[in-house]
Amino acid sequence: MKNTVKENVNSHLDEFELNMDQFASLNALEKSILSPTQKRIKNPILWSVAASLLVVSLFFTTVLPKGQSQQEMIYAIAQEVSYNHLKFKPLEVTNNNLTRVTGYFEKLDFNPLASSQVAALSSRLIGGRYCSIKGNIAAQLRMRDEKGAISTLFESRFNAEDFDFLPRIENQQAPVKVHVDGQQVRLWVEKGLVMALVNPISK
Amino acid sequence: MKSLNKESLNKLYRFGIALTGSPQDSEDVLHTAIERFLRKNPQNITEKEAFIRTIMRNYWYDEIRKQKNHQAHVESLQVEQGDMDIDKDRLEDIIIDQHDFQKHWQALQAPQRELLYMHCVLEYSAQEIADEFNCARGTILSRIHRLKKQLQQLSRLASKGALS
Repeated sequence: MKNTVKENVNSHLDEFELNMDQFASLNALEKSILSPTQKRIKNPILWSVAASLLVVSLFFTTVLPKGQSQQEMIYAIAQEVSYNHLKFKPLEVTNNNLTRVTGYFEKLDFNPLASSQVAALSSRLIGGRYCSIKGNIAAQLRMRDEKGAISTLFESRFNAEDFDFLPRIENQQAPVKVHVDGQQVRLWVEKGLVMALVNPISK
Repeated sequence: MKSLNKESLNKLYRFGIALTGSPQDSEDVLHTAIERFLRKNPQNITEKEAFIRTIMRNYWYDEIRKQKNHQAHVESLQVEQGDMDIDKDRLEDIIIDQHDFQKHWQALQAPQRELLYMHCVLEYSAQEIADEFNCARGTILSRIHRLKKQLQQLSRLASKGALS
């Protein structure tokens, strides 16, 4: 069928639309950036206090790296996964089926698995993408509950050097729970994998 | 989203496809642009779509530069010194087979697809496009001229059955 260039351009581009998950991802991104807990500090005095705290924390992380406690290491992992959760980067695979989603992660040296800790969330899997935890390659599985709240489960191969201090589900230890950036982060080791679950703190 | 409605987001997504040539890259570019936009007090920005398009464009060409494939873009921006007969027949009115056009779309350079989007979807004039690109109107006219010649050639080849 012959058309003008204008008609061709319009009809070609009209075929594309953002789907529900893509809209949800952009909505979640907006919420995370514009939420009151993350508004920018405009007061110069608060800025100087923040800068001083940054200098102190840099001193402890660079000059005294060997003295890092377990609590600090847990907090560092929690911050990293919380940051990745809040970024809401586009999913590389979109599917509700765990087998299909995990089948996408061919570059991993482990098989992402369902976790006992996620079953209670009544969330639906929406997809996944690659990421990392403390430099270890990881899978990021994104889920959404009936109210539209997004949770992210991160899974990485257990590496004793980086994760030995985390509780083990098989030893009847409960996941360690931390609050970061207005999110709840749970960390544990299960079936030989390190798992981190990030979800909004319920109101 | 409170800052942008669905229609605007879809328009920006389509602009992303025109810019990058792929839905996946468009989603990535749009996501990054929306994030940067939201961090800049969006309530103070009046022309939100144009603002986000600029972020998308800058981000995408930075990415291309990083991948060292920027040469084609730079070349495409060079002003042609030859005569420009843009008024004889308008770029958007060239008749071309839909199937042939879709095949050719992917082969166009990013700035050419972007130009077609501005011209045919947003119906911007050469001056309005030049204002958005922050370049001279003559640069846009020469790009339109070059693109028109390319599409006319495609149309002729298609009518002779040279395109398989």
